[in-house]
Amino acid sequence: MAVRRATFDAQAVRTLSLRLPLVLFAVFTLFPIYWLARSSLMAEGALVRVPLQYAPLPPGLENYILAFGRIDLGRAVLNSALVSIGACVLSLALVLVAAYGMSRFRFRGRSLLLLLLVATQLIPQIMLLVPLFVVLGTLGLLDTLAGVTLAETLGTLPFSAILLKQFLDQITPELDEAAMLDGCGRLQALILVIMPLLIPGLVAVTIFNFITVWNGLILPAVLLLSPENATLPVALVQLAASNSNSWGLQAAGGMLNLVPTLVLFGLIQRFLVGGLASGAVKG
Amino acid sequence: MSSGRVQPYLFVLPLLACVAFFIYNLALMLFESTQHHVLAYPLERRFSGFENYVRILQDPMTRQSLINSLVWVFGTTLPTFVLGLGLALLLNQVFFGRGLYRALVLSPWAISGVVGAFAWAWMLNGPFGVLNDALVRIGLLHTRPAWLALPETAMLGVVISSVWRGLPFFAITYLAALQTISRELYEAAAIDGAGVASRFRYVTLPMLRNVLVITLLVRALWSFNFIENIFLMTYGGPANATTTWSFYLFQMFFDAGDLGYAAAMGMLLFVGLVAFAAVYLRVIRPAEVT
Repeated sequence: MAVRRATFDAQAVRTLSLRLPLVLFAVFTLFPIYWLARSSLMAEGALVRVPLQYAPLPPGLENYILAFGRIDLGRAVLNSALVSIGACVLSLALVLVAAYGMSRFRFRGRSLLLLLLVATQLIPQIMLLVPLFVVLGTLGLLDTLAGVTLAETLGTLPFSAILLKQFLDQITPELDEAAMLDGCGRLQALILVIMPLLIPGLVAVTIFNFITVWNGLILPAVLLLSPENATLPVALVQLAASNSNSWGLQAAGGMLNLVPTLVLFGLIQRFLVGGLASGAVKG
Repeated sequence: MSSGRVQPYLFVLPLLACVAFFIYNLALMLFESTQHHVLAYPLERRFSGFENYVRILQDPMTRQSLINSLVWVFGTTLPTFVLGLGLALLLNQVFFGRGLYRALVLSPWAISGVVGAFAWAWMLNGPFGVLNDALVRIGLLHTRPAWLALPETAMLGVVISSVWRGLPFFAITYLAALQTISRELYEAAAIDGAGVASRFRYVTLPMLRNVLVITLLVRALWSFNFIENIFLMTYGGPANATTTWSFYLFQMFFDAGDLGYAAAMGMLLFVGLVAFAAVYLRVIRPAEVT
């Protein structure tokens, strides 16, 4: 009897020591998202009535309709999509070739290049803005979506290259050699033989980049001056600045920004852990 | 044959361009830091040697911003590290609904800094914030302080929002690392009579050591440069309580237009971070384990 009692207690302690932190973590991470969704569905008046109402009953879509009227959200979503997709595609094409070069060739300056790629991450992002201004100005791309796309692509390259190289290192170079014996050139071998095997890595890098660029604030805020070029995060900051007391409106705008990345994240998160486990962390 | 020697460089050309831009950036920053260059007065621009650096040393605001930066970096990095490891250990357990739970708790990572900062700023709002509402309901508070408007608590508020956003990425990374530890190691330790605590101490920690060392460093360096939450939630205030080194740099650049001063602050920051990374890696030596 005493033995059964003891195992029961141990079981209870184990369950509690697992369940309690699980609940606490869930509350900490999810409550802000719930609160944002709740606020986006409530009328402004109801948001400032104390004590607060914790559930959005009855829910309404007024804030969403209002948000679309107050700023050109459709345009902002389109701009964000153009910049994010453009930067992802461009980055993918460049990084595929570059990471392949880093993984397969032993050339003079290779380790220095890796070191410098890491060092690029140490410069304050704000300080990158001056040279970006100069370079984009020379190219005539200031205040254009193409300019921001280029700048964002440049920002994504170092980390993407390091990440994708880890995936490439897992694929044996004998495959490339076999393809080249069959008459493929290097690029052909990369595209026809290696790329299909690299799809998990390419997906991971692309989604990582998409989330980063889609959520980026500083670069578009500084490099885009015309309001019609504003990306979604910039438009949200402008919306908040001109309607500082309209929390429901801001929450609705926030939800529009959040939904696409959350859906993407839901699709890849399982795979992200697996991908990191197989590559980036070990290597 | 010569094409064979050029070929690698053609492949890595985008990365060379990246690094070239980085070096150009560094050179430009170094050059500007020796200039008296205020954007509003382009005609007064002149070579000023170390003047900007001397001004930084004499400016009481830089000292405060350095202290704020240290509070900010330690305040965000350590809790993110401890909680991230805790969450990863939890997610590595087997329990019902783990897949869904993992997807949900890791989701703040995908949320933009703007949205997260707004959500937290509102939750920490004085009269209408949910934190105050909950605390008043349970009877822990009788007034409704505006957390972000008080010098004593503003930094804490910004830090919490940043920990919230940083936690998932740490947890993902550590979870991935935990899954590479072979089960046999734990079984062997259990046979030798190791309990939960000593298995963590003698198996998990040593196996994770490299990942922990590197993520801590990367996060600390990144925090030093990160200003988005401060920009969105407090703009350095109240009374400069959340003005970090990077945020002060940003203000000198954008609000004061003092390019020379901002560039000198940037140079000091860059050199400081490189020195910090070098000392850190020398003291902790991540490769030792492998």
